[in-house]
Amino acid sequence: MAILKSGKVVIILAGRHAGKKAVVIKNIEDGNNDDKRFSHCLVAGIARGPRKVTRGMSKKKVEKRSRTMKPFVKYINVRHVFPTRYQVDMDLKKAVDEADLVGDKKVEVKKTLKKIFEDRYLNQKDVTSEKKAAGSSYFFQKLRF
Amino acid sequence: MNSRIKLVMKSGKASLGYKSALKSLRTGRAKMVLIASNCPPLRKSEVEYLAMLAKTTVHHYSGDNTELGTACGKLFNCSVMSITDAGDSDILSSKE
Repeated sequence: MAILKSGKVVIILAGRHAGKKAVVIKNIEDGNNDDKRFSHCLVAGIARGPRKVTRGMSKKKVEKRSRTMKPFVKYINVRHVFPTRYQVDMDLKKAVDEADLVGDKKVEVKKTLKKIFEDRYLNQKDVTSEKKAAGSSYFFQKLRF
Repeated sequence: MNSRIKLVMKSGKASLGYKSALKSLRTGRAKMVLIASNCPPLRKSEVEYLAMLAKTTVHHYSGDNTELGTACGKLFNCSVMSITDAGDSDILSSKE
């Protein structure tokens, strides 16, 4: 069975988003017949994470600083992606409709993604199972290298 | 172990080399992965991690890449090889 299932946290290895973490939305094995004749996957990741918060900050400030995430959506070659053992249970397939990934519509998709990521980031305690909680916390931590 | 590898090369399917091993691991086709002893440690950990994700057995071959290449009957060295189809060999069942 393939490793890259939807919901898996992956690390982008190449390109502009190298070193960023993403979640696999859809895995397209064997490519599509027109331009991408290689196995690739659709991922949604965090281009820029939320700003750091400290203990002394007010609740309003914390929330404002937590809502500064910048997401990205990308079709990426499977070779440029490194899977991790973490999984995240955000319902991204509903948010990202395949047809909406061109031009202006892409901006809308990113806006919905931003909202989903932010809500999950602020409500990490609400995630029930331990495995999913570990996945979420790993996803939002910046990979240090 | 060498005789099992020989039988796999004859009757089954194996892919030699790091890139093809990763490819077979990613698609889930690899049944077993063999890593030579002098494989660079970063590459070794990477293959082990992916094999863990794919639930594929990893066997650390006792011998370096030249010996693993020879065991496969090839004239080149091979640091990582993956077995996609064991054929008549019992390599998969005996190493569990």
